[in-house]
Amino acid sequence: MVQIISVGTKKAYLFTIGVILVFLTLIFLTETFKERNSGINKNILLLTSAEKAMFVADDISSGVYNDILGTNIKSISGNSTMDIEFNNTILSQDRNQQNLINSYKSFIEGIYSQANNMNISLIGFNTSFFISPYNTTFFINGTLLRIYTMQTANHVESISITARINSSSIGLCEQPASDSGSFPSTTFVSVTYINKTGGICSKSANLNPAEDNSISGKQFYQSLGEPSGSIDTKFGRISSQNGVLEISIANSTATFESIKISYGKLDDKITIYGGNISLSFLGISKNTRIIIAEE
Amino acid sequence: MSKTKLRKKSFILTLDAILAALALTLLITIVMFNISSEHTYSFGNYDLDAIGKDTLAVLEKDNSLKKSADTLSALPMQAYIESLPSRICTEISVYTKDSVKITSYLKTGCTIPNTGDIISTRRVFISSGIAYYAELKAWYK
Repeated sequence: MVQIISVGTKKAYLFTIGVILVFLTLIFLTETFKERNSGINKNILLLTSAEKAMFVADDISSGVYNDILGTNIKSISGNSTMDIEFNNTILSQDRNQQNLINSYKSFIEGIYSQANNMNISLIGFNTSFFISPYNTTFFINGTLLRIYTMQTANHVESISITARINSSSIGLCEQPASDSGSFPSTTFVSVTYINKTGGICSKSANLNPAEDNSISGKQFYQSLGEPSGSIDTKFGRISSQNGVLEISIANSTATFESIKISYGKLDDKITIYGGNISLSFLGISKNTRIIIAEE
Repeated sequence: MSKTKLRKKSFILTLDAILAALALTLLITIVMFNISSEHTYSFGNYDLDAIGKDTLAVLEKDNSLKKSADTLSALPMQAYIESLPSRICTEISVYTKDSVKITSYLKTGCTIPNTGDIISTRRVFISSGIAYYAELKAWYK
């Protein structure tokens, strides 16, 4: 009887130890599963956060300059020169790009940031953008367009402009006198205005970028009728800066079919860029430049 | 075997069974807690998020969002939303920059669930120089 109880007790001990081992194994396995799962979740969170940052940056910058400023970069091409051509640019007293840019900036930094649980800032975001490596700044607002070629003015071999004007033309189709010399001491500028009755005012001149080329404050000037107004394109020393292209319109609307700038070739690739996007969330920070176009 | 001995043995067996049951319950509780305490990220959510972003990007690039904002109608977006896989339900809404909803479209045969995962994605777009945004909610049928 004593021996029978002893064998039963041993079996019970073995069974208990077996059950405990099985459950300890189960606990160990679930702990391992938990740790592995935690690692996967962290990786997925990082992946999705990085993707979200990229998506938001792309969302904010995609086509923004084209849509707000109304300027499209038609092409970047060249053989002996590097040509950048803009089209669809509109100058009108009915447009205020600065207001539109300000409105977009406050929307992105306010409602859009909150909706995406992010802190987003648009830095240097205005009605200008830049062309590298030519140190060129493109500015547009309402009735005024300026392209600052700055100290690299000598790199601009030629400028060609074609604009359709929403008025009929009256008066003289004026142009500045050509300066002596050729590229790189002068830049060839040609301007064509087409009015709504099909009349064409087309002029050209070699202009020194370091001189004020205005005659009585005018250069490629066309007075307009129905409604009465004017359009003027200038190149040279403007507002104490050399190598500035300025187009202004009064009391009309001009749609530019083409603004083509031909630069002397440089080794660096052309990049056209605007302001910067800075965003942060969940400990992730991203600062990215808004690239408008690249060669 | 005397009655006293039988009672004693029954008592020990009952106590043993109760202890075993308690130990079993405790161990099962620990195991279940470990499994359930860790929130498992669903790859389904990741897919829905990607589909949502892609859908909004396509609708922006083909100008459907602009057309919807200009016409105050969801019609330009309908064809693409309806062409999404049948298991995926979506609702797309277009808002002004002041968060005023101007149009909305729910995919045919879908109802917005009260529970379960709904992924929400947004995309900003510009029409006539003014900012709008579209919000797409996606879930599995």
